[in-house]
Amino acid sequence: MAALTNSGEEAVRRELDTDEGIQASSSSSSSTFPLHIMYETERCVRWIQQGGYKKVCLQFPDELLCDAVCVSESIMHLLGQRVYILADTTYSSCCVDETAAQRVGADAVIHFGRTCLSPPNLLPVLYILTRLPVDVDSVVEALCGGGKVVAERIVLLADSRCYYAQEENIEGYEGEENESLGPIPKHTSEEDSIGNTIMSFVGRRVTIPSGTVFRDYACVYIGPDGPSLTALLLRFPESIFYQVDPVSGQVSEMSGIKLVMSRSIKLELARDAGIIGLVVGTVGVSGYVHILARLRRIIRLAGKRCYTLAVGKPNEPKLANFSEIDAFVYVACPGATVVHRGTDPALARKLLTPWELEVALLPGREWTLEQEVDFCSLLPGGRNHIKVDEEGFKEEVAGVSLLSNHLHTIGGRTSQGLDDTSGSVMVHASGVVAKLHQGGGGEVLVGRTWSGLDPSIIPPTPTGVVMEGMKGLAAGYTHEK
Amino acid sequence: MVNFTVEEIRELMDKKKNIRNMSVIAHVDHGKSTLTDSLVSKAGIIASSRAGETRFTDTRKDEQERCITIKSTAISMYFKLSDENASLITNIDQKEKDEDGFLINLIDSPGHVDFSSEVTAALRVTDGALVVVDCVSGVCVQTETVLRQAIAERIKPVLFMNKMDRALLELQLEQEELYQTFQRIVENVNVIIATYNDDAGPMGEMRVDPSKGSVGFGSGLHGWAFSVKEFADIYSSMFKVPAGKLMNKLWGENFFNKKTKKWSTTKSSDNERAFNTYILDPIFKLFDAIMNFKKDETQKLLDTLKIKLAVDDRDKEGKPLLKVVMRTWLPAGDTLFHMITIHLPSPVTAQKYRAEMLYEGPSDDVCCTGVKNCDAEAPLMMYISKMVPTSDKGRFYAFGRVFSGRVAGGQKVRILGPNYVPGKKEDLYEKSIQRSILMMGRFVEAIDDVPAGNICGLVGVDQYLVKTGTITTSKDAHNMKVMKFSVSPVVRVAVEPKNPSDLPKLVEGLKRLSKSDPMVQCIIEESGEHIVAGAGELHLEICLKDLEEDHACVPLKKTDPVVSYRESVGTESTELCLSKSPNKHNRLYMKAVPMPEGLADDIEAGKVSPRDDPKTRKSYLCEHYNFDATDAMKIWTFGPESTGANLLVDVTKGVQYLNEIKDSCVAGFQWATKEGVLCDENMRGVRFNLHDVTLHTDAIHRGGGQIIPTTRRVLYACVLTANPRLQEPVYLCEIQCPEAAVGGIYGVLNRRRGVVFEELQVIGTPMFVVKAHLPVNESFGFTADLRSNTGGQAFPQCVFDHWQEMPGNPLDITGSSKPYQIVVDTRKRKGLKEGLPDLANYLDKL
Repeated sequence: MAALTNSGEEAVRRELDTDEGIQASSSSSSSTFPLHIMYETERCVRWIQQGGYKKVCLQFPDELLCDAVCVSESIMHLLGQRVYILADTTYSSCCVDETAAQRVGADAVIHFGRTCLSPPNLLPVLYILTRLPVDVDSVVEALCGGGKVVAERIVLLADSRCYYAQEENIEGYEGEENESLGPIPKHTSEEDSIGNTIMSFVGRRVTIPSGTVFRDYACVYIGPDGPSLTALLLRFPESIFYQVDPVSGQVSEMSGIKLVMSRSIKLELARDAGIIGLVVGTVGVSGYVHILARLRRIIRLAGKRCYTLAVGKPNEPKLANFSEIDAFVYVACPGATVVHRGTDPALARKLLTPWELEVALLPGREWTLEQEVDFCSLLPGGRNHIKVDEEGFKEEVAGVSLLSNHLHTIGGRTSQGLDDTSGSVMVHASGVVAKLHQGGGGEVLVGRTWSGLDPSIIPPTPTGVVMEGMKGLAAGYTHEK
Repeated sequence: MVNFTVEEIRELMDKKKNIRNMSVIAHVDHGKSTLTDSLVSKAGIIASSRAGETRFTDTRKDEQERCITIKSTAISMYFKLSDENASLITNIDQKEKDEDGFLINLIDSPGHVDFSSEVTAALRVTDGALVVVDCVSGVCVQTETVLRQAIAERIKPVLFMNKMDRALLELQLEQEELYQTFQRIVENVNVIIATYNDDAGPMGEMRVDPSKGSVGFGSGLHGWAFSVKEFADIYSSMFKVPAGKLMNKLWGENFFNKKTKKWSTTKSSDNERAFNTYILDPIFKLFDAIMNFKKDETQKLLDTLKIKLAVDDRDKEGKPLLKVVMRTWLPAGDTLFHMITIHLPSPVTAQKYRAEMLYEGPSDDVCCTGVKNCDAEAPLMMYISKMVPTSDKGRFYAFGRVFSGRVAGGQKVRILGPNYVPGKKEDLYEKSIQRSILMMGRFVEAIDDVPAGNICGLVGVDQYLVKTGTITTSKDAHNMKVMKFSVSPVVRVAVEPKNPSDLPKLVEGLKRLSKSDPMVQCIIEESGEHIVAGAGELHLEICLKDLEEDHACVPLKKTDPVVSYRESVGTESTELCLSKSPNKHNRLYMKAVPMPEGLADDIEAGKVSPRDDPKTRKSYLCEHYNFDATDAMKIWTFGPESTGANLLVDVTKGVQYLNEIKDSCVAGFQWATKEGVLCDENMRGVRFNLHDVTLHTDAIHRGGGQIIPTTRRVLYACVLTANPRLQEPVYLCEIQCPEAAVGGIYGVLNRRRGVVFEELQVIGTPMFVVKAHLPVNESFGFTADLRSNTGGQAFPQCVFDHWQEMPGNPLDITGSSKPYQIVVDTRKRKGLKEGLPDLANYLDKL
């Protein structure tokens, strides 16, 4: 039987491509910090006891999985009840995997590691931010001395895993400048309290004194380069960001302008597309059902076809199976919705954000420098919500594509009065006539040279002599060794 | 005072035999717009005294300032032909009975090679061409290019020798010298015509012949012109000989002995060439008398030639007097008008032989028949050749020619884009035309409807056309053939708004720009760069200026111009490359081979195309490129865009399920050839052979998701193991200059990697012509450099000629070869992973 399956060794040894690219530092972090500090086990236990939860799941991202057993054991030891470990999440590990938690009928989830702080859908969640080692001295040194950070007003932001350091240690620095941030699990809209503006974005909240706008501030971001920073850069492209490496204190200056400009191609991609796929990238963030429905409606009104796909974490081969789909909208949490061209160019080229789709197709939605990476803001009640107005789609609008230099149209396609008689006709033996391949994927199928076995061809396929084939696993046949 | 009304024009539009659609084409600075003024003034649109200075058809401010035509401009004019001239038109298709009014739709085109696409667009909608040649500089490179294009489009030419005033006043040529110059130009033009036209073809003989009156001489600037016919008319009454007979005598080897009154066909001491005696002599005498202020002689000549001057012109002297005398005696407008009406075809004549060239569909369907017969009652067939900006920003007139049927405001039509395929919905729009209009240079006139054979503009359909298209009322109509341009957009710049939040305006501006110019390409690259690509530096300069001032209306940042490269291979792959699919269950084995020399050019020229009948293509490939007959039948696809100059060939033997993965392989191939492995540029001239595949037996495990990325990877591995090469675009550069400047030209060319392959003297002039190949990448600032090194005496004309392989392997880090530098720079510019691509990412081991 050994020939049918390999030992699974390969899967165990496979190196992980974690999104942060800092496995080394995360594994070292568990050695830097004792487990009870790193995972705040006591706080977890307290939370569980206070809430009186019976079945609790502990969700670990891939890079922290190595500590999962120890953490769960120590929690179980303190708590005296069983807890479950959730790993290998279907979607991105920064969101709470509620579907998996529901499998065991859990009534609460504790999420460890990097998080996008998106509001959860159903279950009560405790976020344990965990810790990345931060060399406070060198960070403070980098910020105060050296003269690398030149700005009068600074907003201090941090990777959620470096947040502890900010609370505890960088107070001195904070006094020197003025802002603070807090990852907050609930979204609040902008509001005034004693004249100050509270801005909340990507799970963070910043209070800005009245009379100033965010653009006036330079941002200091403590943490490694990654999706969280990308999301912030897209949200505030006009601000200068100083990314401070938490360990070395190395400062690199960044601006989102280039990133925003390079994403302008996405709008053309959406306008050009005949078929748009909605890739479900989360089932944990509340409102994902509503945004899917909303996008579906916009796409249909714009005269395009729409398929919804749930393929887990998207990758190139998965999406290439749908070669008839021209563009994919990735409905995911702000921490995952933007795939960097550098990390996976093949995947990045076809994925766009819900906001980009709306800008491209929805009349009245204007492009702005400040990209909206959080789809919740697009929903009713959100900061950036506008109504989908059917009137706006009545008139067919044609434009030149800057990708193919062909024409593309938005809206009005149904009222165009083109004769709908094209398409193939299949006549079954029984005399039933069926109309096939009309529009969308069907049209693509007609264009293919291979569309499946055709029983009407006689003989169906030339049958040869039975021969001995290859032996072994497809991943490596015996004769290939 | 315009001496015709729109109503008169509309009336003539129905009399299609009395229509002449013509373009004016020439090398830059040979005087097209200036000459056109003569006709415009004859039509009364501008005063005759201002003809030659107004350049009425240069409608843009920058055209007037730079004295260069940038956009082709159309103008419709109405003239009456006198009876004796009308009798010269014998072909029944060339003139309606009892109608001596003629409608001339003229398009003045730019001469600079960068704007050749405008010429192409003008030629498509016209039937005849007035080829203007500066008789001092002779036939130049652009004369040849446009003439060749005209003949390919089945446009009949007539020739006009311009700038005779310079020949007489500046060069002071003798009569016989001048005749020889003329003779040489006529010969040169006829050689070009003979090269590209088949006398036995549907158009018959196209040669120009002064003795038939299809060659004019004169000066557009001074507003005078003649053909042999004009003089034959004068002398026929004098000698009582029919004008037709005289015309044969007045050109060529015909010598007249004044004493014996005998004609001879050889020169001897006591006879004179008739052209010199009867045509050049009076002109020379007049020039001599007026320019040397011989007042009495001038008066005598004016009397003999029966030239009557207006009162206030009589006091003039020297050049102004000369102008007015010549213009009164030999008005250019009349001569041109006669040449046009008598020698250029009417739509009725022309569409008979042009129909098959214009229409993609079967030549016997109702649309093609309508075009052939120029039938106003047949279904509408109109070709839109270009878009003309209106005063309303962002909107355009769709400018084109009605080949059959009639077009009117309010009419519901089908708009077919270049990618329309009959029976499909792609690139097809059904819309109503708002209005039809007549183009009158910088003005437009509304007109109710326009029947077959005419040129006009449409309002209200611009949104549904990119640059060109077919407008029809027939459901079964195929496209009219798309135009083939002689230039390509090889020079590119990236633009971005100075203020980032203006990006939407830039995008909108780029869309407008891409409509307004037949050649410009506006593209957003994968890297997010906004690219404007044009035929040359000047073309780009104009496009960017339009973009900034008219289309986007926001301040822009521009990069320095760069060229696009092509990725190719130098040898066959050193190994059989294998890539495994993501699930490791499928394997593709391929090799890359450079295409035989010339095949890539043949594919780009359309001689070998994916639409060919496979059998014909096979025999062509076997015959010219030694293809294996089986391989030639198993070409899966061309790429990129299914038409490019790379091939995917199946050379496998007996592989199961292969037909199932073909579509996926083709998709992967299209992608890989579009974005090459070295620096994301198109591939060119690579043949990929699929040698073997191993596939999972379950169809689910060999779907597109597994095969498409794998195909791309294996193709990349093939290229990397086959001595990758870069190809760069190369200009054919023609430089005209006096002998003294030739040395300076060589110096400049050497510094810029240019290679001179021809140098010759223009016979009869002190001018030299240097022809060289110059890499486009080295051409930026070339014109200015050349001028400063030759004291402003050398003028280059550069046109894209071919792709040339750059020596050196781009993967060779040690030599830091030029291709290596280009790859690294391009990758950086496009925001790709820095450094060279790593073979290990693409090649798998068993």
